[in-house]
Amino acid sequence: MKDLLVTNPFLFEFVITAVAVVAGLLGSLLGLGGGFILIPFLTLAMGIHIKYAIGASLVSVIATSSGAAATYVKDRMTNVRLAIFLEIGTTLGAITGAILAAYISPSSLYLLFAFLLVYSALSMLRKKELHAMNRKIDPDALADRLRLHSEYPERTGGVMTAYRVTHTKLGLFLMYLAGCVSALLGIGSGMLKVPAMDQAMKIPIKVSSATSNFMIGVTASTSAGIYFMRGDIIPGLAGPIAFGVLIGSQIGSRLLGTWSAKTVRVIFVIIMVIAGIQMGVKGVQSFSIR
Amino acid sequence: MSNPSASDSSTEDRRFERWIATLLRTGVYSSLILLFFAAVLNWVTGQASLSRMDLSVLLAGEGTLHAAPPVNLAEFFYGFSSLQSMHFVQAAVLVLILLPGLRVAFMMGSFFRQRDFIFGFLSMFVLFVMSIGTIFRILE
Repeated sequence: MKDLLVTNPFLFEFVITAVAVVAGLLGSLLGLGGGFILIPFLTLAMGIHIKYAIGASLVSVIATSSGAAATYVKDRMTNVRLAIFLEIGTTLGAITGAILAAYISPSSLYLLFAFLLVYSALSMLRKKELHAMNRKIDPDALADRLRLHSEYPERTGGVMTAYRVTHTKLGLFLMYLAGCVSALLGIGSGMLKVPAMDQAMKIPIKVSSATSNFMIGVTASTSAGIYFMRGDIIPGLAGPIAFGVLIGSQIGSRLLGTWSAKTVRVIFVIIMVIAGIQMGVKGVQSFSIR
Repeated sequence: MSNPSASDSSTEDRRFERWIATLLRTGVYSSLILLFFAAVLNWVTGQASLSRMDLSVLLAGEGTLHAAPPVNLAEFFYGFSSLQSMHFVQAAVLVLILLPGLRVAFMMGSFFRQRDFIFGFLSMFVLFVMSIGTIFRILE
């Protein structure tokens, strides 16, 4: 297959665009950037150097985020004030990660990626879905002062349900870590942002997904600028991927309101575990080759 | 951005959210059109965005490719006028990279306009941090 692609650039573009459509669709449904599918595909299946995969993935992450975020904001799923507050953490983390990326070996990146995938899957699996109104919410003075509490429709266009935000400082710190990981691995790091908001800050999962999507673009853009200036974003690779991801994310964002939280979670877990195992194997192989 | 305790500002909030959605959608569609146009150019000219040589280097897992960004606007516009698909792809990628920053800048302006100074300054700080990496890279 790879030999065929080397001699046929058009076929190569078609294949990566098709995979990007799937990644964009799942990425927007799960509140992730799509990078969790693209990076393993580009590195494991295509054999592309991880820094180019990361560069292309960051662009696709922005595409997914921006495409889906437009719909979520319009549908009132996104907490815009909370997003700006947490973006302080994600952007500072993205700067840290982009600097660290120059000093960390690819094999370490693979292993870190694998660990995060499996961790995210397991944490989602353990989680019990609670109705927003039934959650025990600790009072949070900062959230009160910044007016971060809001409301959202449980179904698109449905009745608005109020929710409260808590543990904002912890959330900000977790977003810093998520931003750092995003820049290191070229992912939206929604796999960290969604559980952090959902579990630590007690925000309903649909709001967490939508708000994560909204923030992902800012995080990725911070580090993508650095990758772009380094020459690590290959337009011929990033362009078709962004195209495919945009198409996929448009389809995905229209499906979110119709899918149950349980369905979203099951898809999330299955994909994370498979990709995590593959990336772990690749990381161990890279170490043993060295 | 709506808040149960501030229902009087909900109309303003809704308008604010609609503008953000419009901005994001415009950026995304602009990028999509540029990428589509590049694909059409590739199809018409029979040349893919990646040469066979670059593709073989890429698929060999080597990290020796370097996609130099356009040095100046003249080079960028020359690429457009001569209908080089690579420049359209590059422009689409740039639009996507800049879009989140534009969104934050728009939000900053809106927060200040609503006299929500805390969030105005928070947005300004986010915008500043976003540009740090790129600025330092340019200065290197």
